[in-house]
Amino acid sequence: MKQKRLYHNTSLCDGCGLCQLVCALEHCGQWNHYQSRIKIVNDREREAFYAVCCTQCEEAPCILTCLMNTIYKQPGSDITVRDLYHCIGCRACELACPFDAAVFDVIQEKVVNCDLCGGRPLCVEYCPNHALTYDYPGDQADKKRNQAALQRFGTSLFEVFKFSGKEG
Amino acid sequence: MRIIIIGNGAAGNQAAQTIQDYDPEAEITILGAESIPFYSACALPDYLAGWIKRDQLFLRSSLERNRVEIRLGQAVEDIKPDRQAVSAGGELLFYDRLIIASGSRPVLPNIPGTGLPGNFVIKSVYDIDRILSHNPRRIVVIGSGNIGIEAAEALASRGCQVSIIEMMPRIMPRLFDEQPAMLIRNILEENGIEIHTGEKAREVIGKNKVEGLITDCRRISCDAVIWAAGVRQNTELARAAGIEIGGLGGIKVDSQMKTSHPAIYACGDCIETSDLLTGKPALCLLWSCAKAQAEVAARNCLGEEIVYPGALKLIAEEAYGKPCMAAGLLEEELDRTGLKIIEKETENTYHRILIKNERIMGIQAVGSMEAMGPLLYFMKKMIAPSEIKRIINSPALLRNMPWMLAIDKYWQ
Amino acid sequence: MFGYAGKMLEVYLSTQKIKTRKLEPDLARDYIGGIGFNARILYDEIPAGADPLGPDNVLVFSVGCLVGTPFPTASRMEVSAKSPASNGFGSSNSGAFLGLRLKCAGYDGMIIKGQAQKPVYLLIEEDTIEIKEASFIWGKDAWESIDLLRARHYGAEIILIGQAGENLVRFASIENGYYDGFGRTGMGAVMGSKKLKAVVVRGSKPIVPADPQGVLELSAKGQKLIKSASSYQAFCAYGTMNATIPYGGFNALSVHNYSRGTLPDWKQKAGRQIVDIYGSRHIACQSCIIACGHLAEINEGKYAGTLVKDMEITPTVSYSSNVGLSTEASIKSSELCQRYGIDMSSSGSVIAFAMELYQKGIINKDDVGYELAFGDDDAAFALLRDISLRQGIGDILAEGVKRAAEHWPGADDYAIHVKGVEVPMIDPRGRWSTWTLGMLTNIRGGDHLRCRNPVENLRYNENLYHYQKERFGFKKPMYERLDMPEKLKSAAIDLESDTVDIAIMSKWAEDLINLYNSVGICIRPPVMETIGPTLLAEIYTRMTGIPMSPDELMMGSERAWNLMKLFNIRHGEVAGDSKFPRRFYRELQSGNIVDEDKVQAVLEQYWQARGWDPGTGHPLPETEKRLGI
Repeated sequence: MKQKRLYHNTSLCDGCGLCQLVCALEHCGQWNHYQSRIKIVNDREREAFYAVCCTQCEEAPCILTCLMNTIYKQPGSDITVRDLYHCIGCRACELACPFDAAVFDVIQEKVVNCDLCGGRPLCVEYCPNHALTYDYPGDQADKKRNQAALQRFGTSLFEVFKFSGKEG
Repeated sequence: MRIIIIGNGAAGNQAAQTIQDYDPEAEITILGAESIPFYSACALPDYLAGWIKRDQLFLRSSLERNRVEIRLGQAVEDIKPDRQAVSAGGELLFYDRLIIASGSRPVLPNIPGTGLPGNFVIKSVYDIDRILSHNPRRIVVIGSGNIGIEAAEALASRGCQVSIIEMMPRIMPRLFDEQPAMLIRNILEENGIEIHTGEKAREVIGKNKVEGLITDCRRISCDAVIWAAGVRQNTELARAAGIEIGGLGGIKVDSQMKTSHPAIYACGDCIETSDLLTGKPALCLLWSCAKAQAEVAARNCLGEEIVYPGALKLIAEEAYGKPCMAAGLLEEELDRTGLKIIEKETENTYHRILIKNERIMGIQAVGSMEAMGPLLYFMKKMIAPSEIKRIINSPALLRNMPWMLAIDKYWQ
Repeated sequence: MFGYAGKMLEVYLSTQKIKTRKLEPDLARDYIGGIGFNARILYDEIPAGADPLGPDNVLVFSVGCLVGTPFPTASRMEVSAKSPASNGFGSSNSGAFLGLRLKCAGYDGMIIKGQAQKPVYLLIEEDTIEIKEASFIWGKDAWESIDLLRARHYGAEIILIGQAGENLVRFASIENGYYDGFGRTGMGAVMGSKKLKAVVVRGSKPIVPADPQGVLELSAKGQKLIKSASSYQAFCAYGTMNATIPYGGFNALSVHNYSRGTLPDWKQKAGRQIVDIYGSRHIACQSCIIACGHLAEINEGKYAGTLVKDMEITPTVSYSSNVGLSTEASIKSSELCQRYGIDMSSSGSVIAFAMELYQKGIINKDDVGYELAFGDDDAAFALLRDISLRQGIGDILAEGVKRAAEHWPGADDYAIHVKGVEVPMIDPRGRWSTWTLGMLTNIRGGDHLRCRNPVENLRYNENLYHYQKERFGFKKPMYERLDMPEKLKSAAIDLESDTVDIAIMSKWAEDLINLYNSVGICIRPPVMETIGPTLLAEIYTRMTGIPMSPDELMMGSERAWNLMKLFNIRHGEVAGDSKFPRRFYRELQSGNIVDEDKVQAVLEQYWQARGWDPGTGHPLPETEKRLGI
């Protein structure tokens, strides 16, 4: 049973940053865009906005890299989750993530990632433009991304998602 | 299939986990020399500082008790490859496959005084327990690698007076080039840690316990010396069993983690591996490398034939709140021809990227981790830097890889 | 302290000292935030007679108190000082992202005092606050300066002045990032007089609400309400450009220095279709769900390569109708104004003023250096440059129309301003409404943004009951939905005659907008239609833990407004200042003039509604007592 993932449609996004605020408020009870698990990147030259967020890789490199074996796939849902009790905030997983999607929580001093709010992502609810959606992979968006990756890397993005991290 | 794993560390546990995931029928036994459960040595400095509690060191494990037998405090006496068995605790245990993950141990140089009480290493939980109960106030740390720096900061944050002695001309000589090393040194020195480079420790002095250290240049009074100046791989068992040892001192393995003996694999700190970027033999004693190698070894044990592409040196540090990272090769390890160095310094960050022949060969950063993950990915996949620029300039591609934008500033 | 950052930064540029001022709970509760804080601080700390461009002027930035919540459009920040244009309370408001960053750096506001000896910029980066030397960006335009500063301080938000502010042009703006700005009343000149080039902010501290779940729920409620507004869809699509054609139809545009009411090609030039032609994407401010801002791109022709956030009615009217430029030249003018750091409204007015003087022969080619004519973009941009750099005749025009007119006999008749601030956008001879009365009652002077009817109709244009009323133009559901106290609502709006009492509505509208500027939300129609003190009081309570009723909240706003009026009076304003330019009373435009006496009567009704002396416009002692000033 595949896991639904977060998708961001750039052409609908206007950079309002509401997703960041509600994510931070929901997870930390404070608003601070730096605590958000989803980051909106501003391409100032073209005034386009992109979302960077944990892509829930099937073979996640962060899991293999973690020095405290804190990260694992939740049995049943297959979401990448963390047992933060053992996290020492070494940030190696930040380096392992090819998508820059791990977030260093400055309050807890541990690294966190998007956990899809347990199945009802709040950012999707609050996005006023429906730029964020919660969908099964393998749809139109994925096909386009795959084609782009194929052109550039000679490998499909699914390969990237299944990035095994065997390189160490 | 019966699989025995020697070693209850990162590599050993990862191997067991992988086998458990891939083969429901396999019987697995882990033989661990220490009498305590699986823990991470990476967090020992945090425990030393008092930033985490002792029980946070012991990691969560999804090894099922009815599938994996873990024997603690069972040092292996010897390996008998012809009989496909090992002897441990007076028992002879037979295997179909053996995975050696025996790790490494810190070494002390052959100088007087290292036997005195007050000399410590940082390898196991017991080491930290001992340091804490010794309750030193003035410490000298020998060695400024990862462990040395972390231990120094941990003890300084407890209010101790700390000095670091480093043999090479700069600190962290195998991790950072001169400029970033200097920045990190400044941070440590601003926080009260005394650093002496280009000096060697000559003698530990004291009557019944450590009272001081003499180097080439000075004498420092102290009540504890911590040796973080090198490790040796635990290859004695392998050597005695006739398994081939590599030129650098680790167990020799091929790209499938197989040793010179069929049915015997090895992974982790104890092996000699190859460098991902250069392909040459290398030693890479890192937790994440151990896990990656263990997974390859485990799956190949079960009949697959996957290949380990090589180890990438990668460390993440924190010096008084400032994150630092280094990956790949150093400037001095690269031949000057065709070498391009990008250096970018702002008010409180520093980045250095080494590019040779259109490949990213090394990255170092002090003060900010931003964008380093994606850059590292490009380094691992050996994608030319010109590709990065092309992606950033193409709105259609950038839309699908927005994380690339953060790297853009290095190519301005 | 919940909801607020809890501190204000105090910077003494003369001595290069930096202090932190605790946010007193009384100030927070009585003045709420944003412009409220500014009103109190400026009233208390600027001495009467202070030179706006001298060391005694105080420049205050305050963030709206709801900024940082997911409440839709909560992004705004207000800057105030004694205005070099009006000599009274100068103030301007802007959104984008700086407000949130400043709050996350730990400050509800910044108070800048004194003057630096050499050009400096203020760096606020987490716990580091430094005054740094700015010679490497002094003299450079705003966009170039931002690039240079961002290279040093990656990821920071920046507000700064361009050359206009450096040269103390009296209507210089403070730019907020590339595309937004604190435009009116010359705040840029005050910042320039302090030799403060920029403020660079980066912060990641959290703001903690008293009731996070409550804030989240009320934010969701706000989102729903705004989306149900009748103007929501149209506003998302075309922003303020929805109003350009109607105003043309009303003959209410400021054409060629207010000598005409509309242009024959207005629809082609400035109808909302230009958003479809030139607009490439929406840009939102922090937490905004409307995103009325559009990025405009010109791909061909003389101005090919222009990329700027534009498609806003105010600059469009300023440059397309007042100066008479083409659509593309008008878009380019936005870029130039942002680069030079100069107010789009006032600069267009000043250029139009100069062009009319040229037309009438009061100035000539020798005075200017080149020919001037309405619609000539080269001339307009050359003049804009000269004004920003104070070169040639620009040095006189940089003083604003009121003071510049003193240089040439007879020029006075063509100076279109109220209290020294150039009148923007609407010609009251074409359309009389709360907007236009507001130009006289506004604290800022000749301005249109602080007194607008929360529900403006764009269909009817009738001057009713001798300037006392305007058409309501809406049906009962809209009336019922309006969040106003019942008694006041029925006094202000009469459904049967479909009229709005302008005096009463002006007071309510001003207080409501002032409240918006205190809590930090946006005054766009979809918000004004649906969000009122009831919801705002509720979310204020949940956020700060301070119990606040809708009446108390509105009183806080009224208190600040009255204080600003007292500030103006202390700094020299008299009742006679609240007059339109002579042109509106004397020259016919589409058959109308403004009747001075009748307008004065409505003005006195307004003063009465406010609890001010109907003869002088001075707040009465019992009003001051009621508000606790």
